[in-house]
Amino acid sequence: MSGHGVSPSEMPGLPFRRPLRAAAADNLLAGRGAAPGAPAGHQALARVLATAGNAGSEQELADEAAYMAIFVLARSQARGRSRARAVLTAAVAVGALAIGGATAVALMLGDPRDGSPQPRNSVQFGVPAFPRARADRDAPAQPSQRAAQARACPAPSRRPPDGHGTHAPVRALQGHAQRLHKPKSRPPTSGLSKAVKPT
Amino acid sequence: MLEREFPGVLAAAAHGDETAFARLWRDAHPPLLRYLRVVSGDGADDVASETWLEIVRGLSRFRGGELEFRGWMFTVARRRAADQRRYAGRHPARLTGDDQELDRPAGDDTAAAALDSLSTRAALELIATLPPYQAEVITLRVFAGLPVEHVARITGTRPGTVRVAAHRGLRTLAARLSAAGCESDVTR
Repeated sequence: MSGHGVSPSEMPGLPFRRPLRAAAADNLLAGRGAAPGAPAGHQALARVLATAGNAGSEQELADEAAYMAIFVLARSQARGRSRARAVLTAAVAVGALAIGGATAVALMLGDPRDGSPQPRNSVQFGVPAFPRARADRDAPAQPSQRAAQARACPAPSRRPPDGHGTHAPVRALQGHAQRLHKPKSRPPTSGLSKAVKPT
Repeated sequence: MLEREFPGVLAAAAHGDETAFARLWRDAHPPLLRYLRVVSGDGADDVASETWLEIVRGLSRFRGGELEFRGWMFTVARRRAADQRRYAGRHPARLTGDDQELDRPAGDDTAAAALDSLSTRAALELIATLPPYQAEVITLRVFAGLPVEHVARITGTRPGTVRVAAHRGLRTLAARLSAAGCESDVTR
């Protein structure tokens, strides 16, 4: 059989050639050309392949300037991207350090809501002192203590200074301190709750 | 092929040396363009520029020798050519104002044209008349100078398949050239 799909005996008029052997095909593909004495078709094929695989022509290399521009542009974009990436990385690192540092400081100081000891200054200005513990509140306050509390927590005066207004804030604070230190009366229990209360 | 000089040229091009890139491009562009002329036809120049753009972007990350570089380059070109074919399939209408394109010889004349003028363009057109896979394998073997294993890796087939396709393609070309030579002899 030949490349035409018929055998030489079937159609003797056709130009049948020797088949292309694997070794000859490898030589052609490697650019070594056809062997001497090879059929004309193989010689022609070797010439065609050599022509197709020869060095680049001027026409093919005419766009060198355009490709160099592509190279320069792509490299500059890559440099810009890497610079932007470096700046972004640095910003993220600084942010992470700041957040981490703040978290570490907060952990070291403790949470103010959970009652853990906090090394902070408890000096307060212009506001009443914290209510004392229940045991202290139950005990009647001495007059000297009331006066001391009144002196410790002076409230700003809203009135212009005059003869009577000078001690008005002190009096108001004394009344406030009395209300704070007065023992609280327990709510009266109703008769129904007495009846339900187990013995 | 640059052979021994390739590692130095590639390293310099990867660091942004324009002269080194020009050398790399002058060596690799002609076979790439010829491969794309066979595979993509008229869109070869566009696909080549897209291929080089991708090559330039990944040049600093590439590791390997010259054969690996060519294998990478033709792999990229093959993918871009497939993208271009898909695009052309979605946009089939194409207008042309180029008279030379309209006067191009038909497929029947390519063997005679290749023998008569023996230009690179005619030889490429003759190879392009083969079935697509055979034409691709022959271009990768002959133009790019890639061994069978690299061609098999690029085309996603086995080395035996590549050998068979190349052999069949060459046999078909030899038969066509023989017929064209005989017809020329007869007509002369």
